[in-house]
Amino acid sequence: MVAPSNITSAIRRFITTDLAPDLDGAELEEDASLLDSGILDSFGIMSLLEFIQTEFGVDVPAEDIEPDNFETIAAIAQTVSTYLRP
Amino acid sequence: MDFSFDPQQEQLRETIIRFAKAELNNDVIERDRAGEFPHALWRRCAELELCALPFPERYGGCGFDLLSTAIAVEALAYACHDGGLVHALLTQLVSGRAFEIFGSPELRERHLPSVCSGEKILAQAATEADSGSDVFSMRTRAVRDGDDYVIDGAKMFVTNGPVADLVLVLAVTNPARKGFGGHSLLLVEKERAGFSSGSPFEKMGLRTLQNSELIFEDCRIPAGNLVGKEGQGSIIFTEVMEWERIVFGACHVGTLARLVDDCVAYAKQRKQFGKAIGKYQAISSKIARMKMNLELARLMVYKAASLKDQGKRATLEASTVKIFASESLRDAALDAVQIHGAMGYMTETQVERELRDSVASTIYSGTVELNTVIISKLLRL
Repeated sequence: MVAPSNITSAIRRFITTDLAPDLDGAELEEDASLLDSGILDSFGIMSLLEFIQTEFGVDVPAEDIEPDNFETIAAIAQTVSTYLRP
Repeated sequence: MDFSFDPQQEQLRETIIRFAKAELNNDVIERDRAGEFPHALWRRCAELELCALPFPERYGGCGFDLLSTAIAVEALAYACHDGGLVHALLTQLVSGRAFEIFGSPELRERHLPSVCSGEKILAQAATEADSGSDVFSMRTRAVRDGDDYVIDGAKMFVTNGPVADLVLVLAVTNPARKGFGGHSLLLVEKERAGFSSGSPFEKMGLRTLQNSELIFEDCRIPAGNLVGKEGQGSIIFTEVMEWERIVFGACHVGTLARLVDDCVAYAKQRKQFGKAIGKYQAISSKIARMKMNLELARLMVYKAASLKDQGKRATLEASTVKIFASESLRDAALDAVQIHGAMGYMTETQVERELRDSVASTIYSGTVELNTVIISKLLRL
């Protein structure tokens, strides 16, 4: 079982490396909106879902891919945790 | 790993090929020339449940998984020479999937049975005059007003647009969010005030398929016509595109298989300088390459479909299928004209129509160029 803190840090690392490389990881708050800031756009969500599948073996069902579940790093980590197999 | 079909898939394939050969290929040249939608043939296809393949049985569907649906589509494209009719049917399946997966129970109950029966024709409207590959830069707005949404804007090149009874419209609902979260999908019935269609566009190929501009002027629909949740539009679109690229990939495989069979038969029968032209390597190597691409494209389609049937994401695989299958089809169609020589250039041989039809395959469902961008993004380049 992956620890929640590890999920959060892996997601933060992915976002600051792949989606917003100009951003200092320390500047990105866990509860900052990735949607309002445009960090998570339509290509970004595809890349993120691919990352989640590769990194955690989690396939989030399409019907659960909704803005609330991907609004912030904290929300994404919670979504991943929900689908992680024990 | 077993690559054989099960008995149900075999029967499905044989039934569709037999039906299409017997009923769908009369007067294709005249139909193509007239550029008219073949309503009577649409109804015959619907009677054979070709509009119902992937949908749950409770709504009148056949309940097939994506792999079996792909096998059925491949068979249809193999045996039906009217590429426009096939494309219209696939649009019905792909659009229907959007509200089968994401629609409310009320929406599904109200509309899916008539989609499965083919009584109602579906379209999905995303592209606009200034937003093609950059689809989410669209300007069509849907604004919540009490218990309704009010839609304003215009959609371009909408497949099935002129004949559609139901249109799934992708619109901006939160302009502050440019990509994920800013768009929603809404179902518009053709009777709604403020909804209208332009005349069908004349096209290079797929001429029986109807495409038009759709216009929404203060078009008011109930909030219950929202498909999925507000802000979920881009992800529904992405999910449907995955499905669409696999299904159309299967369609390209079917047409490609027919071209291979036609070229093999012609190359055996046509003699020049005292022997069949298939004995010349300049011809046989073209056909061998067609066959190789056919086999590869087919495996790619089946793999991507199997992934979806396992509940996995297949964004990368779907884009890979779309690029490879569409380019293989277009290249094969051009080679088929060349192999048939002057006869291949003549309308009566029906090879030139396959070439005209095939060009669109590298453009719709995301251009080849856009799909390469998607693959690159998923490789984290």
